[in-house]
Amino acid sequence: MSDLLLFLAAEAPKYKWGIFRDVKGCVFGFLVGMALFVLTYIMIQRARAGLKIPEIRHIPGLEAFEEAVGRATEMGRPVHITDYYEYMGDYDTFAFWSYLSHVAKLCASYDTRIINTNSDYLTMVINEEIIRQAYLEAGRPDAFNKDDVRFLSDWQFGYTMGVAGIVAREKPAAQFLVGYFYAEALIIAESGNLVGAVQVAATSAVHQMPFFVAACDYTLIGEEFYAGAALLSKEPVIYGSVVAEDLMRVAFYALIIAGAILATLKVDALRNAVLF
Amino acid sequence: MRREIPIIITIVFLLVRAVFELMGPLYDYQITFPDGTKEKLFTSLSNAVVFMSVVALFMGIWNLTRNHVSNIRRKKENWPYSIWLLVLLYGYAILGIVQGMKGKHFDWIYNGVIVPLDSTTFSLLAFFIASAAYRAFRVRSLEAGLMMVVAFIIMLGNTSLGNAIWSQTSFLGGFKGIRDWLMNIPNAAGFRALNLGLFLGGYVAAVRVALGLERRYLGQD
Repeated sequence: MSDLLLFLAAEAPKYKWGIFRDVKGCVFGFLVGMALFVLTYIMIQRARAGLKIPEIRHIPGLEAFEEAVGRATEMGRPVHITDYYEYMGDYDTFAFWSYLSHVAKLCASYDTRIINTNSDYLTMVINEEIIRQAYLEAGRPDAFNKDDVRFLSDWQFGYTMGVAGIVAREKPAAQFLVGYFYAEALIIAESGNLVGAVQVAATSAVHQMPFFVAACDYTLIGEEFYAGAALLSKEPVIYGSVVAEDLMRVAFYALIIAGAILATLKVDALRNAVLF
Repeated sequence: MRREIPIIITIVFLLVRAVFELMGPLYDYQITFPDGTKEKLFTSLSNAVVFMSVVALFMGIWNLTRNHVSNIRRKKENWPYSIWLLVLLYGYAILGIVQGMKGKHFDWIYNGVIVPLDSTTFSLLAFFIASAAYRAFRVRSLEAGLMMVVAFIIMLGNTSLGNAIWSQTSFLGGFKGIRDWLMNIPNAAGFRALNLGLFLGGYVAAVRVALGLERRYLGQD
């Protein structure tokens, strides 16, 4: 309590609009965030009410997940799925869980072995539960093998060599590299390539995208990674959120064009508003 | 209720984090510890998360131990390596506890074994880049051909050979000038477009979690 009184008595730091942090773009970011939140909510409500919402684009890489698991089933070989940078609370991890849930359900229904390797021990526990649940829903709880959900190392290259070793020994017919990756991306992808696995990558790591495009059969790049995570659910309500994202992108493009024109005319109003 | 509680916890902490990041008074609010030192509440909360992660390390150790003890018991292929892994895992941890983080042998193993192994693994990238690039640059389509030409120009722009063939003081700044233009204009534009999409995608993914629509982390559709 005394801390709070001292804090209130102290000279008030400068805040934008009296409350927002004094960092570039804080207020604009908040307003854009709110607009996006409201737009997403509206689209979700429209989808829920069965009203018409704009069509969303097709992502070809998504079908590759089922094809790859099907191939692994035919060949009688396992499926491997991993994400290096999978920290709890990171939105990439939430997206990864959507893909993991989808792949685990496919594997459980086709009775195909799924191997999941991890670099984070907290996330590993949730991954284990997601895969267990998928086998439970498929009516094959006894087919779930918890030894196939493995923690390797939280050390980047310890994890990398662990994955490369597992891929070389287990020879998965399909490998899914989903999430955020660093320098290990190409080593893991090439390990999969050496054993002839069909590889699907989905990443938000801009610097690793060229490596995945070069080494994998299908790659979901940029926001396709997040949109794909939503589309896998095949729920119209979640489709609504992707529609909102697309509409917001159009608004951003309009803002960029307006900004370019105003900057050419040496009018700083829009620039100042964005940086406020 | 088994499903609702994790969703509520997720939403509450997501909102707490967002409010702390945006609101100046909350972000700057300091607490005083019994020894008189002060720290931002935001920093303390972030440190609590780090502490929880460290506690959870035992779950990782348990998983590794369980898997490798199982390998040894069932005499699976390459099972002696599992013994080696367990010896190193527990041996190095015990050495660290006994000697401390600056212990002579503890430090020697780190600098003499882990660092060179790390560098060795990293150096593998050079070979993998070559094999992946070979496959990617086979001219099978217009896009692949375009990519190969651009990659060739960038490589020449980065090497002295490129400068010897077409000097940077000559027309268009030579290969280096073209490389700079490619990197600063089309490449930067592509990167920024991707980053914009990533921001929107990531934000909408967070909104789905905040609205309780994203439940697949609970194993639900």
